[in-house]
Amino acid sequence: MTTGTSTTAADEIPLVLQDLKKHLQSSHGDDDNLFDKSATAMPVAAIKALLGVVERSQATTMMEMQNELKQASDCMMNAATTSTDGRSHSIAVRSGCELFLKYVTRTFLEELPDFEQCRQAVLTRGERFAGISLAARDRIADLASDFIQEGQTVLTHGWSRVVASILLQAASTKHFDIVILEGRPDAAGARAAQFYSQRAKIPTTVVLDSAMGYIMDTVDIVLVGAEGVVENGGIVNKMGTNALATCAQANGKPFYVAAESYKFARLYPLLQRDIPNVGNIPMQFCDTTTNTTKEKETSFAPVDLSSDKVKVENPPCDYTPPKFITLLFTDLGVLTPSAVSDELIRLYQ
Amino acid sequence: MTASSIPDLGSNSLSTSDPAAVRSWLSKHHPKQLALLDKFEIELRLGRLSSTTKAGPDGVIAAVGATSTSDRLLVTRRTVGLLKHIIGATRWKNGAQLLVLLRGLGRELHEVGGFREPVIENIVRRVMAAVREEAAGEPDGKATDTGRLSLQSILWALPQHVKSPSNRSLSRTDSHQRQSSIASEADLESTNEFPPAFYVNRPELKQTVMEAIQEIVTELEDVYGNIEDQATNHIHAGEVILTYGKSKTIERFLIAAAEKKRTFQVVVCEDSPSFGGHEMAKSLAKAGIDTIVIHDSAIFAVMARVNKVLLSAHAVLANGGLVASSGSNMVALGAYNNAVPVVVITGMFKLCPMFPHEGQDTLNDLVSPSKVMDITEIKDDLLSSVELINPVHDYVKPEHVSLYVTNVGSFQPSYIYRLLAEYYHTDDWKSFE
Repeated sequence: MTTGTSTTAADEIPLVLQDLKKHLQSSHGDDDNLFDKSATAMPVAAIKALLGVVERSQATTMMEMQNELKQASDCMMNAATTSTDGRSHSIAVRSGCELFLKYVTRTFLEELPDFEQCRQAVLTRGERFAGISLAARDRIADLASDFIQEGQTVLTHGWSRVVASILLQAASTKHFDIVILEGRPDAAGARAAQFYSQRAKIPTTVVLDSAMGYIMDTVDIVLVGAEGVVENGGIVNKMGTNALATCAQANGKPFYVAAESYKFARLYPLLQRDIPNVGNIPMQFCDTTTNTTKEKETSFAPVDLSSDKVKVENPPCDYTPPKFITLLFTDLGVLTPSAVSDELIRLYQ
Repeated sequence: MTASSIPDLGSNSLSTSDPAAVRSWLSKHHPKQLALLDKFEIELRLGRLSSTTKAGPDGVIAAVGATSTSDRLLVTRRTVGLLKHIIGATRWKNGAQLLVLLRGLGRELHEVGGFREPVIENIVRRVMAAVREEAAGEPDGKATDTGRLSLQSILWALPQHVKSPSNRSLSRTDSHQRQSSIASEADLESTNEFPPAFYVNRPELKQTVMEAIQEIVTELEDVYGNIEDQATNHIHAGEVILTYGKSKTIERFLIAAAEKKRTFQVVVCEDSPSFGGHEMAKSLAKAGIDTIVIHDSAIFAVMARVNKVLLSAHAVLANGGLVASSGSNMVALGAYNNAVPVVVITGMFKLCPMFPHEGQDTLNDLVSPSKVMDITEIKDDLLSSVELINPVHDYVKPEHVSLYVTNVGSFQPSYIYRLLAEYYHTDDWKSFE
């Protein structure tokens, strides 16, 4: 029986990854469309991929089904850890998978006595997951846009669809400025700045990542997104967020995080190295300088770091502890960092 | 039978929460209740709601013999009295109609000056939450979902997570018109604002709602008692306690500790320009407490030898921040600098589901500066060039509050969000503006 289960699961594995890719396609297929509203978030895509597993599953008992799902989610997490697009998806995949596994267990334990009926219940409900991403972002934008007041300057870092929804909603009723960090190595901030200034017509300034201390005293609030929210209410986000949060607190500026609640992960990092990061990505930068000015004066000769004497580290994400976070804007409401563990405990108790 | 009653309902029931519509509906069907509302509003406008001279609509206030000008508990109880009266006497068929009426009343009260008394809006929301709970609570116990958001409800992909809130607000206006024509069994995907169970006509609902309101009234009656019970947990022998201005809650808290044979010293800040501290000191001294009055500029100077600071609240905000009488922030900052714990003593009826978006201007009010400077003392040419302002309140950041001691227990500021979820429904958070 057990061997039978593992073989079916082994056949599933590539399919799961295909599904995951397929569900994410709307966000990655079209790179120009930075603010694709229909784009599926990573955890939701993971949940949808797992739904595919349930649909195809030949399992006849709950244990079998759980085994298959476990293997499928492990497989997705592995794939996410080894992806090299510079963003750490593993936490997002992890939170999505954990939520779904919990959901399946709950359904099977509490709902119906018959296995097949349960499976159908899981599938029919699962179809509604598609709408969750979008609704969550709308709800967050609704809750959080009041935190931006007329005439303020908002400092943000990296590209986040939730943050963009908030800023857009706020911009529809008031005037404010955006300062955005360039966002090395992938220039996410610079790209976001283009979107904010051109599409949303919000006055936007781009500064170097290292200029955050310089610019901090001119901003009123700091608002960032998150790749994942960990159990103690801290966040994992694009490299530089921790420095930004530390800097904001030192300057007495509120530091807000916008994240959908399906990004809550049961993870308790104590050190930066505790977060699951991608392996060694070679250091390479997206150059955001334009070549229209005189090249000799502006461009600097590239430094060759390929010699073995210099060690290069280029992790995509860092961990920001909860003590630096003022409030989290989530679709469950505006939460203090300590509320995150509260929500997680209530779910997994 | 239900089908025949629905058409009548369309003409007789309130269809929007617009204050003017509420008034005209009341005047058409319930003139007596409108008169009560008018009387309440006049007293609110005159700032006389907290005085005990007038008998309330319900007679509840007779029990409270307060002379203070800022007795928020009394205002709250009189508001509940009014709501109880209106809910009990008006004709509504289901939860949805009652909620529309309550929201309308909330807006009406906000408009006529309720923004100065946030407790009024709080209690309206509280009653709305009770109505929601009763309307959703089916006898079979299965329908426990009242639209509350949590990770669990995401797992079940419940409609509140999938439905986008922007659609909801768009459909809000027409949903009430629809409710009269659509059968009570609304389907899950409908654009109705409230869950389908709320549109089911249930004659027994009035009874259960009145019972729920009675529970709230009982809780309000026990507010001081429950707070006083905790006095000896927080005030220890030999301590020096600093408090700011006059507060009935703190006064009773300190006296309760003294009555339990605790000996301690109280430093009272005089709270200029209203000088409520003088009255407070008198009353504490009368109870046999060792009392010292200091002027507000001396707060930092004495803070080093203070063991604990007690502050009162005008409102407790959703982020755990505090709105208290003007000068409280100075006390809190002084205490923070000296690592002295700041304990806020307040009833939870002051808990407001709002964030301090406007900083120090949140829930604040500017009143006549005649107390800051006597007009007769200033020559006319000076008066024209000097601006005198007299803000009533201060906003204190949650970081500067150590603990809230309330009638339902003691909480850290970071826990306040949880109480909010228990007291009010998230859909009722929006301001009554």
